[in-house]
Amino acid sequence: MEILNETIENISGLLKNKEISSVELVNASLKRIDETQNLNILHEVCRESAVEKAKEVDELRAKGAELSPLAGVPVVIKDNISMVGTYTTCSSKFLENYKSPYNATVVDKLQNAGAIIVGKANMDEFAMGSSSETCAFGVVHNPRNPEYVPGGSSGGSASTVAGNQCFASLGTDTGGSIRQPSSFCGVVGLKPTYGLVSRYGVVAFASSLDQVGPITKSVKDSALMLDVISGYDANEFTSAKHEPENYYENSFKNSIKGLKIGFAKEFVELLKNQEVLNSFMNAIDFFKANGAEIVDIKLPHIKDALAVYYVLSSAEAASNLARFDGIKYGVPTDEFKDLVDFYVQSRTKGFGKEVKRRIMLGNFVLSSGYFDAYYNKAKAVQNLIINEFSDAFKNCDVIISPTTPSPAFKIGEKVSNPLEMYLNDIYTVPVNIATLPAISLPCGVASNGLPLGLQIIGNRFSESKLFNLGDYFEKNCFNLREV
Amino acid sequence: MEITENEIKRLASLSRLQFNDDEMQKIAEDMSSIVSYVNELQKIDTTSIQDNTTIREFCELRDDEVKESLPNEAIIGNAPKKINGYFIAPTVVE
Repeated sequence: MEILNETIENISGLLKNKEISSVELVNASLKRIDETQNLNILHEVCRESAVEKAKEVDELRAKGAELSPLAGVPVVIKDNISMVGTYTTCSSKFLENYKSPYNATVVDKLQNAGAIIVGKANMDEFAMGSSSETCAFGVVHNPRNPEYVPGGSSGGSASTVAGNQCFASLGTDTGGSIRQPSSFCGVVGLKPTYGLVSRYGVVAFASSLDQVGPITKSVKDSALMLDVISGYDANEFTSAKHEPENYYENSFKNSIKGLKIGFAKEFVELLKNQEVLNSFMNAIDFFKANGAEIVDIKLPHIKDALAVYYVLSSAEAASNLARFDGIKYGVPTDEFKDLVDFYVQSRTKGFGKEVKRRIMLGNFVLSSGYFDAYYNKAKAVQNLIINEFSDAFKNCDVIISPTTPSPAFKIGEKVSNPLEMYLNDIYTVPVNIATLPAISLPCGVASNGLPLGLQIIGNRFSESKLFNLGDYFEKNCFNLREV
Repeated sequence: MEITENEIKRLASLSRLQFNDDEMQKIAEDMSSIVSYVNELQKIDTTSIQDNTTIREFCELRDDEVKESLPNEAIIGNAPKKINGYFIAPTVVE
């Protein structure tokens, strides 16, 4: 148990010095997975392949091979990421029997670094949701208190790290799906710049917004993971040709003197929860006291980002999910009138409520008569928001906000009101709309005992600044693992 | 903005989905409240935005080269109904 609470940074030192073997680590991880099965975090556990891979890494290490810090370290991936030998269900009945025919690029990268993928994490169906309650295979429970949701859609990915089943995981973030569950579970979640991490082999939700990123126990571990998974991929149309940065070696300066931190009063105006406000203001005071400069910035249309998001993401989801016809994969249908009815029966049977709602909304905003009023208008407002962020970054290095407007809520509390559920993402969605990177890290604990998160937003490709500020905060102000 | 049942039926047909009577009422209510919320966008002045495209720097076309692809079995393997390396689909032309 205790060994599983360590960071990758510490554990890779122990592995390197042969104080522990990868097989021992993987067995500890599998044991913990069994003990915490009631939380419904993982859909699939890769027992045999994990132990086998761990043996290979131990053998390589015994021969004196130069290995990556991730070599031999158990990790988990979200169940919308393809990995040969596993199912990729997206937590949907539609894909219950779908086996990955190929590896996602991020899986190749993790495996090439020697990371041991021990399981695939439950999620909101097709990544649509903010609580992991839309998962077709049961609700995921927050390991810090099982009566509460872990957030979503990467609720399983955040819970597996917070619950010490593994050392790091991969999630995907379309409107906050890495950062919001990381905040709810008290771990570190990074949504990288759009294009920095390949999405080849990752099931698409909203292609202009989706991004893969790491969930870890510390900020430095986040940098270690990003070093492994980032980079140009010719297999992906939107992959960015960005020079590798070596985030772990180059980001951390142990100082924030002179750093200009943007503060937008619009973020605070949206806030109703006093505990979230207090922890956020504490963070600002800490940054000021440690030599950073707090700069007032204006983001007047930030409050409209959520409406933009629901129009654009639903439109793209409706198009992306049109390929689910029940012929190439999916739920077989035996009773149908004709080809169209075959599609209708398969889709009606295979998709859950939230997915159907988003497809309907997407087809509404794309349908003739509404396209200009909704889709085109949302694209225009998206551009306004992008311009506002660009202007803001002329005067500051990073921008801070709370990650979520409240701590984790109870299972079932918001499930009947979709709009209220959507409002969870007011702070995270603008980041995707503007294709920016952002990190969420723990910054306090609420009176219900659940963690609160601080979000640091950067300009495009400025992940190293997020890491430096986040690490400084974690070391000198608040570290949930030491509370 | 109220989304009527007729509108829901039209969208369901476009979406290749079906709803029973109970579901119909609930989704009409949900859609109405979500559409009313996103309707707020109409009030925003966007005359300064001339070009609606985003992520302009991406989307570089690749060369049209023949490359090895996945084996047939790997792809066909996921189909609920298949025969001799082909998908089985419902009859379209009698």
